[in-house]
Amino acid sequence: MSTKAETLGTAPTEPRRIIGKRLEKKDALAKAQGRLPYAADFSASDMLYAKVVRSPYAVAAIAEINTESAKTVPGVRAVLTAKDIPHNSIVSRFGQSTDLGRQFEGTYRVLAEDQVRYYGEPVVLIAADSPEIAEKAAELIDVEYEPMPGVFTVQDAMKQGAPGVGGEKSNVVSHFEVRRGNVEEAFASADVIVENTYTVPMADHAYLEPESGMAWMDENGVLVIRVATQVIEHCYDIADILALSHSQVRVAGTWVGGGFGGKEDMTVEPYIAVLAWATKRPVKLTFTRQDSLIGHGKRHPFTMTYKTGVKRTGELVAVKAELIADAGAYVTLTPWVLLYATANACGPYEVPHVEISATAVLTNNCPSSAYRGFGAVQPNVAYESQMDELARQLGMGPVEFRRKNLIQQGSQLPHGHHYDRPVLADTVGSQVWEAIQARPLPSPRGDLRFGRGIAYSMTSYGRLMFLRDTSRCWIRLERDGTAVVRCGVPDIGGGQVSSLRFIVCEELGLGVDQVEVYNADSVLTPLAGTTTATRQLYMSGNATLAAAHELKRRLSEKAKSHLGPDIDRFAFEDGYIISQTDNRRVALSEIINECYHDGVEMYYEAQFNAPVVDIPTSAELNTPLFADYTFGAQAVDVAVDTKTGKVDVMRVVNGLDVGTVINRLNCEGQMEGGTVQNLGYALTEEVTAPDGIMTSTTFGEYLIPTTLDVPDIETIVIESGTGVGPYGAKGVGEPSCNGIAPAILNAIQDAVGIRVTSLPASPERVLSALQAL
Amino acid sequence: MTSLILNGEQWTTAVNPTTRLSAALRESGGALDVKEGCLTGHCGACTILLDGQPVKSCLLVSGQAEGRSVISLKGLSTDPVATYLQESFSRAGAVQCGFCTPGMIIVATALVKASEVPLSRDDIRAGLVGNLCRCTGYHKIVTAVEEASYVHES
Amino acid sequence: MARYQRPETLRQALTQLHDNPNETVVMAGGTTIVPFLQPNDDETVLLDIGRIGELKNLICESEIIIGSAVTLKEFLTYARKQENPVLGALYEVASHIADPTIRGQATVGGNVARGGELATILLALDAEIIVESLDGGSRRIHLKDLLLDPGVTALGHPDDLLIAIVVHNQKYDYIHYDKFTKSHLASIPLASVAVAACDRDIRVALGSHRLFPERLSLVERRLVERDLTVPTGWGQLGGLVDAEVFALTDDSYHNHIIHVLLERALMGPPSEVNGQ
Repeated sequence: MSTKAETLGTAPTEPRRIIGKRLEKKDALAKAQGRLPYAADFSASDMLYAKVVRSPYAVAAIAEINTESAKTVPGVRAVLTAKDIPHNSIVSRFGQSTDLGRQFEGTYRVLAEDQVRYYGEPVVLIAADSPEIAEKAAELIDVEYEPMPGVFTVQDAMKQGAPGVGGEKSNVVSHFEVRRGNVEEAFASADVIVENTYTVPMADHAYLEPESGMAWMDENGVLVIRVATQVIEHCYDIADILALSHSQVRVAGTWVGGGFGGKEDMTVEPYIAVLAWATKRPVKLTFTRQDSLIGHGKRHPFTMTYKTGVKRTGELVAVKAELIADAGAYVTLTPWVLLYATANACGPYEVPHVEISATAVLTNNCPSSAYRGFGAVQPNVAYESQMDELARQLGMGPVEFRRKNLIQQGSQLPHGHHYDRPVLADTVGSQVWEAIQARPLPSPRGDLRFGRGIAYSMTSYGRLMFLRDTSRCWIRLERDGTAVVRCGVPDIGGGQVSSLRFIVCEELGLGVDQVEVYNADSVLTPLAGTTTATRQLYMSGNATLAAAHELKRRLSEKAKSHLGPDIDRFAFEDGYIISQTDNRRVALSEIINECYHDGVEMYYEAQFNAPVVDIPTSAELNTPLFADYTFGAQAVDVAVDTKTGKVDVMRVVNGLDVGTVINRLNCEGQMEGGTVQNLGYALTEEVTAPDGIMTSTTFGEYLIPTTLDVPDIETIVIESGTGVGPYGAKGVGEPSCNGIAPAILNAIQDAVGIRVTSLPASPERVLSALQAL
Repeated sequence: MTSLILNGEQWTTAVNPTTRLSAALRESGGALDVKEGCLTGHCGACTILLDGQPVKSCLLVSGQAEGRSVISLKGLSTDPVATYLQESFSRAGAVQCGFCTPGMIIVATALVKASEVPLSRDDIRAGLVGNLCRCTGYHKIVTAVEEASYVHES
Repeated sequence: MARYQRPETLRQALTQLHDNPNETVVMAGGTTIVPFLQPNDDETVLLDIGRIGELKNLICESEIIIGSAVTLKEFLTYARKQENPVLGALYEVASHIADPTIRGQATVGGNVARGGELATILLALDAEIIVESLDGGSRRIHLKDLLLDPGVTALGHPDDLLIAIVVHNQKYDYIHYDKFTKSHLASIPLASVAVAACDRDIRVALGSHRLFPERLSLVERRLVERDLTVPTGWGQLGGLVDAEVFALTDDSYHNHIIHVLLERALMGPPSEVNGQ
């Protein structure tokens, strides 16, 4: 059975027992007691330890790799280079069910072949009896590198005659456009025009759990990979790499110690898979933090030039934007991130004349890939800075000015989507602004100046509709009235598993201890798709709801003989089916037993299919891309030390229209965590790599917020009930991190009258902007 | 050989005394509740109690713990403050991915016990500054410790 | 892997240092050494002095003596109980070093020997250190004569061991300490400034993440001539700071921060020591 979003997206009116409540998720206590195993906690008695030997150069030809002396170290079981891997290079495809063509493809390379393209690129794999032996062997690997010139900025990479990072003439790997109306004519009619160029840095996810996994060949010759991942479907990529059939590779996902997009690409999987396949022994690999910081894809640095025109009365007339993204050394997910950025370039505003040009360019930097916000975060920094600047120049309040320009139900988005769902952006923004205004800003004190800023956001949830996304969930009812759920969803800490549990409990009238959820196994659980794109509640939540509904239908049919024919009036509560007509009740377990007795199947697997559109046929976008968006606003108060340039965030209010709250703790938790993650992006976090050599390789250099760097977070949760997820829920994970960075920039402007246009707004940057006054 | 008291029981390990303590505890001592997040002392996921003091076990070699008491989170399973904190973390929504949580609870346990008055949110933030969390934004963690501190002192 | 020795007595430690001065690495808390241990380094001997009782002294009489193996936390617990302004000043500095768990492990000696924040304030307090070796015996050195460059100290003998820090227990009119860090995760400040003044004796010390802490003697000489409690223009003093400090670093923001900290330390109203 497949079900359209529309049929499930309505908000029921009856009071709910579980949904929306402040309930503990079941894994929380196990984690708090240290009982829950993470990927690095698994081992096998005869396992080997893997080591990845990385390039010390950003760009170099590999003349020769001599592994002989490493192989002679006692306890070394395998030393592999690219030529030992059946398919070392594969085409990385993001599409789930459809081939999308070249614009959306890139090369995934397990190990460097004749050349390294970035600092830390893997070159040799080692498996040994102990980590120390593997380390010793790594020291004996002799690679003859011939350093080559590289390109480390998008500007250099786009120059005529620049070295081709991927061996092709042009370093441009992706390009999209949006055109609507005539921007030049519109600018001529504008009363105020603001133009700025914004830059945002390469950023790291910095989850606390470094990448880890173990692989082994099982008794049937199936390659099993137990790994911390957001995407168990990488089993197919591993099969391609090793020339195995799809049924011969199984990924068993673990509870993940944070993902944020950084465990969306493969991490350790190909290394342990290849080594286990070569040695026929279990192989374990846990990245050090240094490995992690050097070795996984980052948030794309963007350079964004915006020109925005507005009438004196406050109506936007035109936006022209050029976005250039640094893809790093391999394409990975760059085209997709760029597409998101293009579609999000104008934010939640009605703009009659639009011209967006977005280009992604290969460089010899660390590859850029998925990171919470996925291309929506970078333009948000630019367009919300522009909106703030325009409001100032017009002398309008930030909320008033935005209100004049927000999209509404039925508006056409610049990329051609007639958005037909309610837009509560003004409600959210007004409440957030009111909440922060409730307390006055302090007066200037010594060198400190205080300021207040707000920024809005519009963030998609669910994958691009032309990807034809699907998810599946299987539920079985036991004779004692409890339930077992199987669903392939990886849980990366956001409560992905507990949401499904709560939905089943709500629907079948069960207590939270009466439902067990099994998740994240590419063979043993139905595939639910990736835990990315803020899609699991929407997709797998709807699949779970559909499965529960079908079982309810069967139970209700059976319960007719006890409760009468009016099955629309049956309620499932506390282990009973109750007729709301006359309050007659029958135990759920009794009906289940009758079903078992009569051969009625008490299990069901539902598939949820997202709405679909056709694949865009040209670089110029003119088609709906996403099923829905989440609207939010964040406001902050900052203190700026005018002598040092240091910015402290004193208060944050984060508001979102979440559609419907499934679990209030998880929902607020996402909002608070997303805020703080991008507060770091705004102020302190930056991957530094002069000439491509990464220098921010510990948490002493890559500075994520501590308890003392952030204030309490005030959350405003608005429930419109209008999302396409179960019960009208919208997505929260990525939307929650959007808005804070430009809100901070706007508050700095409010405090000291300068427009910081580069992140992070580090003390140096703020000071130099102040000194330029 | 290094002998120490691990979670109340005598434990002897053959690992080299210059092996970092967190690795010895995990790989030889079976203390998988000790998490390794950075190995440079920044994140605090590996925090243990050494003679009752919270310290980062990735910054110690195992020889330094010779003859001393090492307590990982498992060793606090009957400690009233730690068990209260485990429940208050769970109740408050202070656990997301959970990787930082064992270290957080070790430090919070010592923090709550060391104070004779209920801790303020600022006190708690200062006490937990050596423990990073990337998921929660800290708000609910501070709330969970605040609640435990209030209950402990009253 | 490295070898490990944990002597019980000072004499055993000095003997090891005397016999193997080159391969021996002294550690007390270990916080700055352990992350950098190489798994295949079979040469180094880690000499753990963390449990030597003779290095755990804490005395507050006419002189304040702090054993080198006293942890920051042990020092804080001790200093808190004494009602002594010099210890109070050191307390404020120590209580903001790194984070609480690291303070439970890191030692006073370790912080001073690598030119950490305590070295900055101790320079302003004109502290001495006691060093000892088998051949050279026990000697006192002015801290300012010890610190040369990061990682390089002027211990007279390669086998000298830092035994204790000695601070004169005197009355000060003014003790000030301030530091600048970009975030609480960056535990080493970009710059730190300590000022201690008593009558005509004014000492200014500057620490930084790139330079070893040092006294600013030109600035000190100029300061002796004026009354710190009366605000005057920064211009002339600032020029001296430029002359003395700016030659040391080519990072303009770093220079600026040093300037700001010194201006705040020297031109601001007299205040109690300021740890943050």
